[in-house]
Amino acid sequence: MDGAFDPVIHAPARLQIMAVLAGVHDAEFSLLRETVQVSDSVLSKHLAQLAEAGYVHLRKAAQAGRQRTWASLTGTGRKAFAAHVKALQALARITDRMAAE
Amino acid sequence: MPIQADEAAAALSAMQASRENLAKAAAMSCPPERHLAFAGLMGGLVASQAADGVVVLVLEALLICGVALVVMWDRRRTGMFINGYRAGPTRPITFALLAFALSTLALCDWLKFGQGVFWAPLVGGAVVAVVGYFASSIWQSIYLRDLRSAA
Repeated sequence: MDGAFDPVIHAPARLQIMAVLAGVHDAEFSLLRETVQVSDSVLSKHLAQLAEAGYVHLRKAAQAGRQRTWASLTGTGRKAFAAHVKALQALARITDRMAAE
Repeated sequence: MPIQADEAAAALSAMQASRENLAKAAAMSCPPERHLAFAGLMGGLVASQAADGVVVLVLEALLICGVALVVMWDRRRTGMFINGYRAGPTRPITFALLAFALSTLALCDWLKFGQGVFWAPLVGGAVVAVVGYFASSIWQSIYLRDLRSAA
């Protein structure tokens, strides 16, 4: 797959959310908040944007008497994330080469 | 979208920090009893063949319920679910263990029904449980290494 920058994923918090979700089947809201280290409101906003782009699927599930939000990457999201990371890696290699010269 | 090369490196670094946090959470939330539960289910699948008639079906139904309970336990304990069949370097372990368990199952069925060795599934189940425990532990260490080396 060719690398392609994706403006939806490029925001730092959204990239981190996508990176965490790429490592699991699905993750609960509080785990995402702790691993990405953002506030509830920031996480909610970014998850909503990723869901709107079709990259993340959100579902509500009751657990221990409370409603919890679970997030998972969609197939489209997984492909977009892989392409975006590939583009970042290609660009970062330029930095490495420049530092080496 | 035009971005600077150093910005790309910083983005990859931040991304990796999040995956490192995920690896820490995953490492802390997978105790030995989780590997034991998985081993018990794998071994139970083979050992259940020692029973006869409808009892086998009942045991297999209970094992399926056990799988569902382990998934629920994972979600409640860790706040995440990791699919054993996920793409990446863990997948060969998954398929190798599956092939071993199914081969053992077939061998035990042959020994029981073809050779009259009725206790074969019990021994096969114990072997699969031991192998399953170690395979689960190895799977987890490969998974954590994968998270830490992703970018």
